[in-house]
Amino acid sequence: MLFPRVGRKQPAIRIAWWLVVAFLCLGITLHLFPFYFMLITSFKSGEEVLQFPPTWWPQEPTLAGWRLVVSLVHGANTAASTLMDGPFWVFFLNSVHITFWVLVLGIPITSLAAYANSKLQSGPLARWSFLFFIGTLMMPAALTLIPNYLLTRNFPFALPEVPEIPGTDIEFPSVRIWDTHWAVILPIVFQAFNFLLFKGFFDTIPDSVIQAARVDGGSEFNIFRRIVLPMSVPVYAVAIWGAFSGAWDQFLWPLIVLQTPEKMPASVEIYLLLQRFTQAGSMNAEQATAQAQQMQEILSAGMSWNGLMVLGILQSLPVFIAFIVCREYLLRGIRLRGLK
Amino acid sequence: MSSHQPPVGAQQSPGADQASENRGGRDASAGQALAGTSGGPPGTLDGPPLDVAEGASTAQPTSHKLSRRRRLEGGLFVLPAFLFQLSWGWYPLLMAFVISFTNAQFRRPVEFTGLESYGRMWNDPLVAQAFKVTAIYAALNIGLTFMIPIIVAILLMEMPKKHIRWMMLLWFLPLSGIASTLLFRYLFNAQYGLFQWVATEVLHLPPQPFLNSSEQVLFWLVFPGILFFGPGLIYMATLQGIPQSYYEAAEIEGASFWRKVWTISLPRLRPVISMLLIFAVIGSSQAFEFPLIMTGGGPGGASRTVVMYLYDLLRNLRYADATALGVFLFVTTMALVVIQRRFFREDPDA
Amino acid sequence: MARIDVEQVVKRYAAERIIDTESAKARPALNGVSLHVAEGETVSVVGSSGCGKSTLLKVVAGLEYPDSGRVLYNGADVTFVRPQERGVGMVFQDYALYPSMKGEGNLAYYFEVHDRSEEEKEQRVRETAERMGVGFEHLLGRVPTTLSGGEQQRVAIGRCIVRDPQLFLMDEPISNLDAKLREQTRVEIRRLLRKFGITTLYVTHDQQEAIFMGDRIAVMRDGVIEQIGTFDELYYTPVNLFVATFIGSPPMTVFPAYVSSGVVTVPDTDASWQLPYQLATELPLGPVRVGVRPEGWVLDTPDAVGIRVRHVERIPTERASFIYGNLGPANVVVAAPVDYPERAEVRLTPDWDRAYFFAADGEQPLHVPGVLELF
Repeated sequence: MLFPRVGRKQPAIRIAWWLVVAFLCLGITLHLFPFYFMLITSFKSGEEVLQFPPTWWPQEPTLAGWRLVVSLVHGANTAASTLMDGPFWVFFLNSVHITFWVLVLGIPITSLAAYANSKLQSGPLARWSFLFFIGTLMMPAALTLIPNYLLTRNFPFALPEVPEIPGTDIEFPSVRIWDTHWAVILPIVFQAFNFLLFKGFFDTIPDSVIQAARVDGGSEFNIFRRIVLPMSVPVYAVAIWGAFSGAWDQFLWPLIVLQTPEKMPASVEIYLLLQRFTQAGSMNAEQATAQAQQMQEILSAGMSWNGLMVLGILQSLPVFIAFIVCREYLLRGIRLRGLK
Repeated sequence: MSSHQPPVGAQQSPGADQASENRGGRDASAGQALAGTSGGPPGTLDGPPLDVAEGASTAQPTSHKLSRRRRLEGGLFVLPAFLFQLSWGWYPLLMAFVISFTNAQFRRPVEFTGLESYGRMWNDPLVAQAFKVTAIYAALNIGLTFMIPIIVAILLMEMPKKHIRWMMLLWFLPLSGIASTLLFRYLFNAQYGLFQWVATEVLHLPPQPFLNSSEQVLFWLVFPGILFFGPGLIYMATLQGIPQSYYEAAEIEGASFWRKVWTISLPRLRPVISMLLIFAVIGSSQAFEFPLIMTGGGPGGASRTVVMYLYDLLRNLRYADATALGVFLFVTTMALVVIQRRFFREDPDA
Repeated sequence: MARIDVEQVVKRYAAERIIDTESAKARPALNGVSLHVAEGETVSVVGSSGCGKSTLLKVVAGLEYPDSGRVLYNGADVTFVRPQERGVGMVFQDYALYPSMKGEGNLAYYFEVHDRSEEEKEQRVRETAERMGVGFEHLLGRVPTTLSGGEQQRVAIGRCIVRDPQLFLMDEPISNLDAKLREQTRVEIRRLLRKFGITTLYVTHDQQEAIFMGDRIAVMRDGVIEQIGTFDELYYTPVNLFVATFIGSPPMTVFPAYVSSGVVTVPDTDASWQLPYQLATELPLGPVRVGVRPEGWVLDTPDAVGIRVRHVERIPTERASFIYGNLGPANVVVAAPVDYPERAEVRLTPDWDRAYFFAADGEQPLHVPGVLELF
């Protein structure tokens, strides 16, 4: 409590208090504005979104954008299909597939390791293994981008070519997961930040509870499942929310390791769509005319910023819902203590 | 032997090693003590599970094995994460350094060429430009956006209990990254964007180029970050853990608002601030997605960050050069992090 | 029930840091501890915090493995047997109830992980509820967070006895309770222990509690059991200065003194007393340290030494008062009748039958009163 609890009636304190309230409300308004603007833009017509000055409320609310996107999602729109690599539901499904496996593999693996580090290991071993797991947190992803990319091509060799077994011209056995969803999933299964999150939480569980369970005779895994897991719902909520939004919104990495257009997640596809939509004019003359014609068709079908906003809303919706679902746990689940 | 009740321990976990232990010599007195003293009320369990222990006394190696068992269980918990962290964390990191000293390119045998790629990088004017852009971007980003969530979190905790929840939800409501990028690209449009309207109609300025101006572009790229307040929840969770009595003690001493912030809230937040600052430095030094979608690096490379350039190199299949660039970025960032750690060295709790 | 033998146990905790510093290595938590507990006996382990008493309990429970030494149950080596196979029940200072389970679930967890039948589990829980007495049934349906400290503690004890343990381990089970409840629970636990005659190790930092609970008391310091015995043994025949000052409240007064031909003098003061003949022949000449318990002083005798009274603490419930003063550098506490008149100075002589003598440099006793025949 920074404001004194007694003496709030003093004018100076009252003014300061209301200034703080005003500041926070202003911030909330500014923060909610993008949500509002996305929503109203999605109900504007194709012409209205390009109007200047912009309108604050759709003059003629229309569902054109939504209808177009629904048809895109179904893959029923022939005009748009030239711009896209398939019906949009495919891309959403890709996102779901990737996110699902990241969560299903990542959360248990990360939390088990953090639990072991917090409660089963001790002494120098615990310290070393802690450093081993969070050490990569400090490493920029840009550094490991290329080796990881090469690794997806020639696992387990982070090299452009698989080396040959010395003395023969047979290559070492290797696995290529490049251009599959596994190339997107596997590198982010273990996330050091989630490890830190879990470890911070498990550290606050009293040792005596676990010792009591050991005396009762639970195996370490049983103790984890029956005693620790039910106590740790908040941290799981936070970690799942974090991992979910991270995986769902991934952009750079799928762009690099996926090539087949049909395998792209929705985030990348929206970007590609935006790219084609805005750069339609910047090609050679022949293509440009063809493109311009298509653009005209699409525009007449209602595809413009309104349609993109609809896609943006659809893309945001899961992140949004995850946040609302986990809201009860967000503050209780975070017990970080820095990198120590 | 027949007077013994069945060994409970062996029933529960019929591991092969335990079964063999039970065949080992039994200590007769121990057995009798067990069998004779089920003096509890009717319906007691089988004799308390001591039998397993008897085997252990016979052979020293057995007990040694049992002591390792807990460590083994701990190992199993860690193993999957260990494998993932090794193969997708440390191994690529090591290889990054190796590759940067080679001439690795697409479908070409790899040869060690020493510092050749670093030399190429050194002479590449685009690299210097990219570093300059990244440095300005990171400085602007941290300078303008890092403090906001801290301030907001401290002030939010001042609100009445029943209001904190909804205010917090609204402040930290997330938007998908790609969706907000879409929106801001629309808002920044120089012809019909909302920001242009604010500039010309509200502030009566001449029309602004926004993202098309090489001087302004970096500022406008950082600008949306002011609205989307990063890790405020982490700060709030940490503030929540400060005992109320600290503030009460300060109040009794007549500490002012700022003094309480300065002597209680901020010191308690320090480890978390320090950690998140490191993430902010690392994160903004490898800005990629937002600039790529907003400007594609334009105009004229004025917003091409290091990682964007690295991505270009990767697309041209110049693996070694790209990796050398990554290593160089890593070294510079680490230098910053080390300097930063010096400032935040002491830990209030430790 | 079991007979417990702890033999020469050494336990050293690994330091968190990666590079061991010398100070971290310096002292093991347990440094060659040996302890023997007979069947059905209760032994209290008492010591100040950090003396290793909880570690000893964990080694006996199997929660920690010793670096060397053995733990035997009924003569069988269980040093490396896992806790669940030892058949022990343990009560923790913070009760350590499983927060996600109701009281009943807490009791049933043991049966669940041991693959016992549902009927057996229910029967045992019911029996335990009966044994634990009035109102326990009511606690079973509630979540631990809604229980008060005393109620949590009862559930924790219930969880401990539901399995019919052969050994009870209690780690400061009542120190988190408030004073009145502590008194009540102390009696309750004592009653349970007597009723079932379960072998018990009871760890506490409170000597009153240790005396009340234990058939014998083990005093620990710095990872070593200094002495183990009944209260009278510890009180009248302490093996060293530490035990002598640790047991007894208020603690014994210890002051440096000089013995010379039948007279004991306190340096830097004008205090000196005549020693009884037998004591005078027994003690070596030269510097010693004298220990006198509060009740070991005789007030207002002819050859007494005057001591200024610092303050007087009256304890009406025990019909006594304690007079505090200084003798040279040492604090003096004297027990007096509750109606002893208030004065600025009291005149004191040690009751030489109850006085302790220790070496001036070191802790070994030169003379202790021994268990008094009179009492």
